[in-house]
Amino acid sequence: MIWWLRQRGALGLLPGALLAFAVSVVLTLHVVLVFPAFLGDHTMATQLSNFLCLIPSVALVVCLERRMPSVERSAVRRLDARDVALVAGFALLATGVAMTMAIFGPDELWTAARNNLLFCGFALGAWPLLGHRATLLPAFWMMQAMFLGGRSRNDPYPWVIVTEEPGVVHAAAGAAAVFLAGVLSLICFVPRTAR
Amino acid sequence: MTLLLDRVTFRYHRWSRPVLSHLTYEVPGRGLTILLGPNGAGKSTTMALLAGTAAPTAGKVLLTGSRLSSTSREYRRHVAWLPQKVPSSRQLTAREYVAYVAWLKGENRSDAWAGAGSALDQVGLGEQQGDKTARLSGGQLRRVGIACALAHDARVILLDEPTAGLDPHQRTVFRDVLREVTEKTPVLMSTHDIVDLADEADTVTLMDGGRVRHHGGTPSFLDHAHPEAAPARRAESAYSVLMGLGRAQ
Repeated sequence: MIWWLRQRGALGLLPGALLAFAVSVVLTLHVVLVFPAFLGDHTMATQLSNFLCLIPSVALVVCLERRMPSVERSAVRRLDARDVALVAGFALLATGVAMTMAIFGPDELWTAARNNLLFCGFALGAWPLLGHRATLLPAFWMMQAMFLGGRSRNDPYPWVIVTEEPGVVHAAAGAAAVFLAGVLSLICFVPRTAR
Repeated sequence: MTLLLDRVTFRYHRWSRPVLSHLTYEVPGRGLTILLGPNGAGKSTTMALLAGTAAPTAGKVLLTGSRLSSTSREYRRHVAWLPQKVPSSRQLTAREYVAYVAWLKGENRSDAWAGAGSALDQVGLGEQQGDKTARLSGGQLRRVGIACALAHDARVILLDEPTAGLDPHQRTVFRDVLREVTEKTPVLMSTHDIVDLADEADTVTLMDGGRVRHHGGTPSFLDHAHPEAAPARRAESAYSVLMGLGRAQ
């Protein structure tokens, strides 16, 4: 099992990504970026930390890309379930770390936890279809939220999620739903693809 | 104990044309068998079915003697598979890689580790066992693939075009390793390298359009060569004649 963990980066890549996520989110909490927008009042403000929530989702895709299907498909020990547990567990751990920090720190860390869950859900859901390009989906979502997601500067559309305030219930529920859909996609589609 | 395709039909998609149709084929239980055929003949599909990485649309793939089907875990334990492209790893050394594959095949950790060391010695990579596989040459990586097969004591070894892309020296080294391996374990190898390998093979199977066009000992295969074919080109000539590609001398 240690070789499987090493091959997937569970001892280096994933802890490193978790550390980078936690530290960089805390360090950039009060840095606000203003983007031009096509809708609303032509500007959209968001925190830099929202972009850094992409780090765990990228790490998940890199981890999944380290599978060796041609070798692992003919195995006696099947790895699909272990891989799902590893990546879903990591996504939940990163969310849990952000939530724990939010208890002792500013409310914006709740946003980081929620957005991390959303981005991980997008990445996991897209990976069986897109492979390494799955990292583009959460990045695309973040960018479109900036350009198209605001009715006005501080009033995003409900479906945007990422730029909502920390305590918005529908945003948290949406992120959780996307994450569950991503995990289900991984379970259902990975055995049917070449990945 | 060997492998049997029993009236196997295989389609990649439900409505697509079958790649294999009611194919019955038994892998010889000893020595080296080479599986020849043009691109698209169904060689890689046959190998994937035998390796248990693909399931037949109809029919059965069995381990004769035990009657284990390719969908069972026990079947996969007994069959070693070297894919056309052996993936390398930046994370694992050669020994860890071989041990990982042996562990995947059901060995426990200590047996896998011990087996990996001796298997790498057997294929002449004892000194490279601490090197990351991403740093090995193509030929060394194929030999790591063979070591993976040896580390878990497989009953049958399947090699899918293992010599493709190797330089002449690497091919020679690979053939030497192969000769040793086939003394103990039957090997089925798909290849395009007829000239290099016809002399080494005990049996030759020729596939075309998802069917077996010829199956028999190497001398009977070479008997099909054009009488005027040069000795070095008899295998190519026999292949051309059996495939109906015209005279090849």
